Amino acid sequence: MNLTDLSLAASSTQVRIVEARERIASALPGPVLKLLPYLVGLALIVGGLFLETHQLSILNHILILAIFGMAYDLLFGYTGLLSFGHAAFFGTGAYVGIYITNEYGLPFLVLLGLAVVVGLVLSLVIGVIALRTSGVYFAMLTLALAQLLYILARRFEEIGGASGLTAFGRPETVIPLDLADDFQFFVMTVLLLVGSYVVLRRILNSPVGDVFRAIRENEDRAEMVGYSTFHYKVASLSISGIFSTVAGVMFGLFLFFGSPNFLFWVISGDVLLLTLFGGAGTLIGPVIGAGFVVLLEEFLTPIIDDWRLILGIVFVLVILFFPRGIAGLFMEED
Amino acid sequence: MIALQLGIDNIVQGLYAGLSYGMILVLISAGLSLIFGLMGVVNFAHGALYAVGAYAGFLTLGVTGSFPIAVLGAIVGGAVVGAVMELSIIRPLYDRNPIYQLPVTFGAAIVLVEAIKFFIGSGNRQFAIPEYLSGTIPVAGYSFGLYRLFLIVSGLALVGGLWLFLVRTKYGLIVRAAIFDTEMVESMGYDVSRTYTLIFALGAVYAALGGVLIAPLFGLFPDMGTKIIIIAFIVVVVGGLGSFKGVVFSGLLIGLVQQFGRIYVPTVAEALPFLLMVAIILYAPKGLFGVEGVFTD
Repeated sequence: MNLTDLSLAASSTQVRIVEARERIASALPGPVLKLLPYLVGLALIVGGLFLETHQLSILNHILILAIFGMAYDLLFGYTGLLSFGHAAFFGTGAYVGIYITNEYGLPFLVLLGLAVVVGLVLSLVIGVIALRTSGVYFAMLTLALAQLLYILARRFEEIGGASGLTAFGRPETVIPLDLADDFQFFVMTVLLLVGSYVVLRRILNSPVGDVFRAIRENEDRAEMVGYSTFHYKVASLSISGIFSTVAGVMFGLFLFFGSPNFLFWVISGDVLLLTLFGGAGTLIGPVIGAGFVVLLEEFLTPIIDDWRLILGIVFVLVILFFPRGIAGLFMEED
Repeated sequence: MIALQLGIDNIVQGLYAGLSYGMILVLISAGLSLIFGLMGVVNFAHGALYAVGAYAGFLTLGVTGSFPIAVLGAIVGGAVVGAVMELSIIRPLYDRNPIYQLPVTFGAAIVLVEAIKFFIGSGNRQFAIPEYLSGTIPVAGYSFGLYRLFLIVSGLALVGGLWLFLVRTKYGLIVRAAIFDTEMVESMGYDVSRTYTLIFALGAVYAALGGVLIAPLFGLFPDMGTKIIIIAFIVVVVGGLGSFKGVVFSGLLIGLVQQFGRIYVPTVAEALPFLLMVAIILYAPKGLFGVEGVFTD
């Protein structure tokens, strides 16, 4: 029995949930736990076979937002930095994906590599400016920088101006998947989701991840112990930015469309929203959050035009009463 | 000669438009700075409160047909919504990590904007300039819109009034003291939590005033607050948190920057305030008037 888990649990219900989780975890053979992400991925792919086009599209949307959310959670949930400008990465990813595919027709893996580079450069630029501050100022700075990109995107006709860019098609790839086919594109999304999760999990389970957590808990103390927190924050932002950009690339290719609106601050708010909903600092929380938000929209839209009103109300209620989100009901912050 | 004349024309008109628009920014930012500077609360719903003010004024105008009463309607609307917000969603978070205020006010902003769409409709609305304030004044060969003059004058009066309240009245002193040392003020017998509600409501009122006063010029639409709130944040950061002088100066400055930017460098005009903000954060992080000012002295 994990004493730390127990001592942190706030109520008897939570103690029971933690105990149940421990029991399940110890009942499953080690290899199964290790393979769980891959099994989930497989389940998603197999499940996808049975879905209609529209349902598959929704699931695809959810999974792309899930990648975005996990990337955001690394910075927010694990390193404790609230960025309100992550739309900068997401939107830029969408533009990069579509522009490069339209103009140069580069293969998909090259495109991903390019997205990683672009994401890295963007994170470094934003980081150098914004990471001198923290807390609210950091949030406002990232917001301002993302809005700057939004304004510039609207201005440049070469990338479509205010109407955005339409993709003529999706990239070719050496991987035996035809991305133009909806289901195979979905499979690629699943692969990227599982891949992202595994990589992020790896990073978080490493000493680097521990430093991130230390910064979240008490940055001054981490600094005193000897870590150069600025560099670690830059690293966290960069990793987060890279994966967010990749998510953006997939989003643009998914919709065949990239718009300046993907750079607008509401998108940054949305990813914060879904991360908090699902549970910050858990990595799978945002995946759940993404599902929740997209499905909420799906189910409410036919019933009520202003489903965002409900979303807003639920969001406020979650922050007030369930600040640890849905995943927070079963697990502590990691 | 003609070019010079046109140049001067542009400058004069630009100054006039920039100052009047800048005054609106000052009003909104004064509200934001009040809440942020005094309470330490980041109010992301401030843009929505601006919209609420505009719509409250619009509805009141529809019912009463009177502009002054419409402005009053905006004030009441702003105060009520602001007070309700503080009591229901901000107060529970005082004990928690302040970073949660950002998402909760963001959520509140969504709710307010969607509520406007729900109850009033998502289309654009027009707000008529009252008869006695429309038209132009000819001065030295230029014609100046009367309404913009009204904006400048009333803006100065409103901001001046706020300053007087905070600096010269007994209650204003209590407000500032309560922020400075809450426990002390409480132990002297004052109800500090009511003060917080008042400040938040007051900040909301100023946002609402900004909304209702600008409505006759640019019309109303539910999302009208989403872009201007970013500019308001920039004004507050550039001017310096907690500084009254700073808010007035930087609000007018940014109004002018945007106006002249639109005339002379239209491609990057919108980006200028952001670049200014980045420069300030990098080189003068306390803002232009950072430490001085009414709020912190």
